[in-house]
Amino acid sequence: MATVDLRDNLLGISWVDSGWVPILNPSNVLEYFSERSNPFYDRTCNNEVVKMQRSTLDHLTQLVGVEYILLHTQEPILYIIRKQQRQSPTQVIPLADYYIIAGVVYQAPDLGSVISSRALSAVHGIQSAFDEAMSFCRYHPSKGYWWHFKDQEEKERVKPKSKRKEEPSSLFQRQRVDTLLLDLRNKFPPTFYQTKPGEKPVPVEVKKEPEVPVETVKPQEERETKPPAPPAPPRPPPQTTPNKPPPEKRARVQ
Amino acid sequence: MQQREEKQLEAFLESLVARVAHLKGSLQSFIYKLENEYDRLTWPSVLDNFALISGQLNTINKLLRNEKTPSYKSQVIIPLLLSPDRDEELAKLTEHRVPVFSHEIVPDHLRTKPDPEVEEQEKHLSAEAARIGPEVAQKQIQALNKLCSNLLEKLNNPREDRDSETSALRQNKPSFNPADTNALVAAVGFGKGLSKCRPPGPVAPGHPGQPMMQTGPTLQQVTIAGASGHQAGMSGPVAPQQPGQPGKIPSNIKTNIKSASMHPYNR
Repeated sequence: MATVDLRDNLLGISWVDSGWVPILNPSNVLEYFSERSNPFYDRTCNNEVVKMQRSTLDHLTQLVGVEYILLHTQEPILYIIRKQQRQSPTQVIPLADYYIIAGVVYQAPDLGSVISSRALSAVHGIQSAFDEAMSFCRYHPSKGYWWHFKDQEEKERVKPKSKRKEEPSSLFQRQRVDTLLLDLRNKFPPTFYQTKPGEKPVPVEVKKEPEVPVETVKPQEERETKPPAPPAPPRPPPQTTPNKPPPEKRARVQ
Repeated sequence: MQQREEKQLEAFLESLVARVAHLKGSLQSFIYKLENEYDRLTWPSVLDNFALISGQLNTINKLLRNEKTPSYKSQVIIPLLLSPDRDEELAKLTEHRVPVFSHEIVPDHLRTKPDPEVEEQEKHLSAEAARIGPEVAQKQIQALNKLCSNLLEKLNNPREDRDSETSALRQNKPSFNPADTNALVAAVGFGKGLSKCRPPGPVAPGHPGQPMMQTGPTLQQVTIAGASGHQAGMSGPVAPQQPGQPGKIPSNIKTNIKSASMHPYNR
């Protein structure tokens, strides 16, 4: 298991040293690969021994142990380095391959890893599709199966709101509202005595009932004759009548 | 030896490619249905499609895990030739999915690291596996095995299925008898069945009364007079008081009987 984990880790990472990228060539690519920061490089390999002894790479064949060689080259973009266990000058066991493309080092995967990865992705995708399809399915013993798509309902809910907001008021509505407001203003001019007495409107209403049907001239006369009477008559009508129509109009506008 | 291994590997790859092609065909047909026949598509058919795809995936897994399968895990994939130019043969092989084998495409296609979502799921599953101890795991395995065996038994026995179907049909049947309901309503509303159980005396004259409306009430009155006579005879020593009190109660009862007996006949 540990080896598998390590293998997965190596397969899932890459390494690059941007300083080397422009000057890579077959003669120095192994030196590039032997950088300290390269996670794929094993410092206990024979290449280090040869380097310390300041010998040429030809001596690698005389040693026994792990070594790295340049397997394949396609200048200047592709280099393949093989890690192998040398048991004799003519017998080696390949351990791993690494390919360098544009200076970036990757470990070459094995066929099994590639197939497993593809299968895992496929299974995950199909499982997700199945879960989503099942979330839209509804069942009842008497009705059977039917589809219930929540997203569409949510969209439908949002649409009417937007419609209401977007719905503009028509010219007729605007003119009508303005006309009505002007008429109401003319009919019921504001009075400056509303705030003072709040109790008086009650008895005045009783008096007005018989007076109003008779004639309009009489209340004016009463105002002139009696100073306290004039402020009472005009208050209740503007308070009551104008309150009713405005909310209706507002509702219409909305 | 190497030739044998190579042949086995080629055969393995050919069979793998064939099965992947089948799976791909199933997916394509399913997607076609989703896009063109979505109005007629029902959950059972969708479930069947998923089952088919699942079966094919299982087949591929069995092939991969087969012992006879050659050691494909020791085969390494290495890019040998990169070219920025378009490769027609490659395009044909990959159905125009990989038209160029360039330095930008190779790392993506040789990638074996799963998607972040898949990694998260794997971490979640591994964490759960770590939580559950071996004992709990064994218990759950046994319980699951029992459930599966029960389900298999039920599915494998067609008779039991039929019995369950018949029981379901019975359950669907109404749990009441309309005839009995009507009889009960008539008894409660009209006293249809109750009148017969009451005293047989008035019932007997009732029958001959039906054909002749006029004679019916007269006969009933005669019987009432007879009954009062009997009571007077029995209570000789205290005639003035006792005959008065019992006389009232019987009259009420008799009137009720009259009304009850009259309604069903008239109606």
